[in-house]
Amino acid sequence: MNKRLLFFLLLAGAALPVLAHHSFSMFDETKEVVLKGVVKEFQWSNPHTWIQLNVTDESGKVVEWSIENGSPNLLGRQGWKRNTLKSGDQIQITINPLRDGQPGGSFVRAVLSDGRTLGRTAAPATPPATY
Amino acid sequence: MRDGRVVLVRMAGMAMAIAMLGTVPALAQVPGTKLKDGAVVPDMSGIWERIEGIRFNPAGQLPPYNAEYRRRYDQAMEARSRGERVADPTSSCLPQGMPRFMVASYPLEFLQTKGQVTIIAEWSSQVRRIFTDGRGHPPADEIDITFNGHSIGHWEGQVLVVDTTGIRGDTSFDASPMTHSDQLTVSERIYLKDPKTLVAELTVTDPGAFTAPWKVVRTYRRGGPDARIMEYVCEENNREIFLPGQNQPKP
Repeated sequence: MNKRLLFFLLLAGAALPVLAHHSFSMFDETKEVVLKGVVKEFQWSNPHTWIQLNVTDESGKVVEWSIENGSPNLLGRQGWKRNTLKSGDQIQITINPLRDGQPGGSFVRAVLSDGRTLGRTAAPATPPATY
Repeated sequence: MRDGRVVLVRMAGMAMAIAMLGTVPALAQVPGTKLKDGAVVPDMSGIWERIEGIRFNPAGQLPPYNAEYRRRYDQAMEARSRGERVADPTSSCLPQGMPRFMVASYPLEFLQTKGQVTIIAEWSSQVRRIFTDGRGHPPADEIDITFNGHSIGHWEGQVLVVDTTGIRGDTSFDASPMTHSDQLTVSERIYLKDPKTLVAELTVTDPGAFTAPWKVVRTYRRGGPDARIMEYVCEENNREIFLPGQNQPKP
């Protein structure tokens, strides 16, 4: 983990993902990682949207992160549009990282370059552990 | 003379057929149709959005599992708590099937036409056809075993009573690891609580997995003026095809 990229590992409480499509056990929902990068591609697609984010590490190497978010059917009803993010946008995104350390995670919230914030607002899709 | 007799026989046959048609119960399902018992077919047509969350049973309890299916559930929950992925068929874009269809992950659209009530689920554009033309189920040994099953319905007053059989043994209830056997059937009582609220009382029976029928009630609110059914093609960009050992999205 490198400092230049503002990695913050936080205990995140009960932030459960929004997605009805699959189990999210591959993501560590107890951790949050903050990434600053440039949007390579925003895939407005089912069953999930994906943000491909280019993040430059301290050695100058660009790493592409895959960040999963809700479907267009879900996000569209929360006000997102297919042009909410565009290639080239500078953005800070908070994710629950993949447990296996690969450069990916599930979307928690984002701050756009103009200061607007995008957040997770829907009820959790994954049944609680007590289910 | 001989030709004349044939015509007469044919005419008699047609008259019988017409008389029999009159006995087909409640063929017309268009909202506002008056049924024989004086009830008027309610207007359920339109878009409906779930009020509860996406757990199949909003009340929270597990089905009345027998020991074997309870053991399977507990094992799967243990695996999940260890961080293992537990297969949810929808992860590989298989249909939700019955009874999960009625969870309405995304909105449902009801259509009422002559002899049929059709429910379209936005999730993967799935369709249930509830035949209300008086037909029965195909024989048990011939019925196709499908995700959404074979549904027949009739009106009891203002209530659409539906029976569904021929459901695959691997359909899901929700994203949890609750499973069922291939003996699962679903009966439903679907009615309007008020013009903007639809109720589906589901009784799930499974002699292979349950010790008693499992009753679950779900409610839906009528979509507003802007409500619409969106396209949802799960295979479009699914990076989550579940295979044991394959544990991360592809970049």
